[in-house]
Amino acid sequence: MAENLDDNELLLQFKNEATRERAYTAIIKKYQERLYWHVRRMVVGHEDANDVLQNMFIKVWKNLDKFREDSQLYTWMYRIATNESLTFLEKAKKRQSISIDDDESPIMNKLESDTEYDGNKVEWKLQQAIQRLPDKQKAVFNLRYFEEMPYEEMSRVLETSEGALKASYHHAVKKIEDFILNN
Amino acid sequence: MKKREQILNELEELDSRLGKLVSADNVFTVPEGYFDEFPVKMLGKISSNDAVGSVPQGYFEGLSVNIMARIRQEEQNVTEVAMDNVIAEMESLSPSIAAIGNRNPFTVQEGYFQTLSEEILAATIKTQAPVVSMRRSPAILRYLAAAAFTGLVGFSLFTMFTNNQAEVKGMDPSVMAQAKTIVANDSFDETLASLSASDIESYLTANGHNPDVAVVASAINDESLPDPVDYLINENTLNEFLTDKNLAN
Repeated sequence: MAENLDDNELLLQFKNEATRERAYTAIIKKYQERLYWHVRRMVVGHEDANDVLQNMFIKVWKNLDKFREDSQLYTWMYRIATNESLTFLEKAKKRQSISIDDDESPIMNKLESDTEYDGNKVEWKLQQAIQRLPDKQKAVFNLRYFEEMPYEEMSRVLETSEGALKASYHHAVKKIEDFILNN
Repeated sequence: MKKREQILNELEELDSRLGKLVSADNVFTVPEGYFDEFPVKMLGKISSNDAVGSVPQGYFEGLSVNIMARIRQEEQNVTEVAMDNVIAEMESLSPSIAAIGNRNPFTVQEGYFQTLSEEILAATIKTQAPVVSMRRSPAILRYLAAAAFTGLVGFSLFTMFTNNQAEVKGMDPSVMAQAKTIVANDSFDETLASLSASDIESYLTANGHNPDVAVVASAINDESLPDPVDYLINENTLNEFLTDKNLAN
């Protein structure tokens, strides 16, 4: 199974015209689930997550030749996925001209229209609180709490200092706690 | 015993109170049978010390396996510690959030990830459809000039001669005049060469033609086109085809 190859081997195969598509398929298979869930937690709706993920992988394909191998492929792809998600949310906000803090925001509507949604369950309450965070703080919280990513790696993904990330995470936790305790 | 009495007397002479307090009995005790077992235990210790340097039977055969098992166990512990750190961190920051845990409440339809890579690959290839540069070279414009002018002047002349008339109804008088001059002077090639690229482009645009499409359409026919599948497999297919036709760039 090509997807079991390490990233360096996959990158080598990608550079070879004859094995390029096979290597790229293996890269997709290797990372699709992790990246999907990261994007899904950011944009909430499955269709939106699917679109963002596909755009993200198209960007990866177009730029993989230029990828600098001094960073990890996985970190680089997480960065693209995060940026694509943030761009999507930004565009959605501009399109709707509705504040994310508003209960009627499209993202909250999407959350509540999820087929599995149950407002009485604490894990959905937690999601409600997370979706009220500013977008970048939401990315910080998700990467740390759900992806269990070390701060050092988060720093490479979000191109922010570890100290700033820790502060942002702590603020996010306090905001979420306030929401949960008061709702 | 006599020696002990002398010691006690000596102590009483030095301090009468202290001499009376000191008991002759030993206050310390040892476990029952301690001294009986002591020699056996000592021998056991000595023989085990002698065994230093020897290893249990089969020790080296299983050593590498045991070491690898230890390494894997420690790696697993590291992962568990890393996971614990997030949870432990959250417990210290907010026990109420930590109690909720970090289970993902979202779901996807069954089989979604099985077909996702093919979907992404198809979308990727679709966006990689060859982009053909349509910058016009003088050679293409010359070809275009020939196509446009030949058609236009040819049509004028054909209509004039077949109908035996001096003018063609609906035809731009300046074109008619130009056509007559060309015929009279036999100067088709010179006139063609004198046209500028922008003149030809303006003419086509003014007459509802897309110059890019006109260039390509005038130079190819359906039978000479590559198989559509070739476009998908090789992004250079269309570029190569247009280069063959002297239409690229």
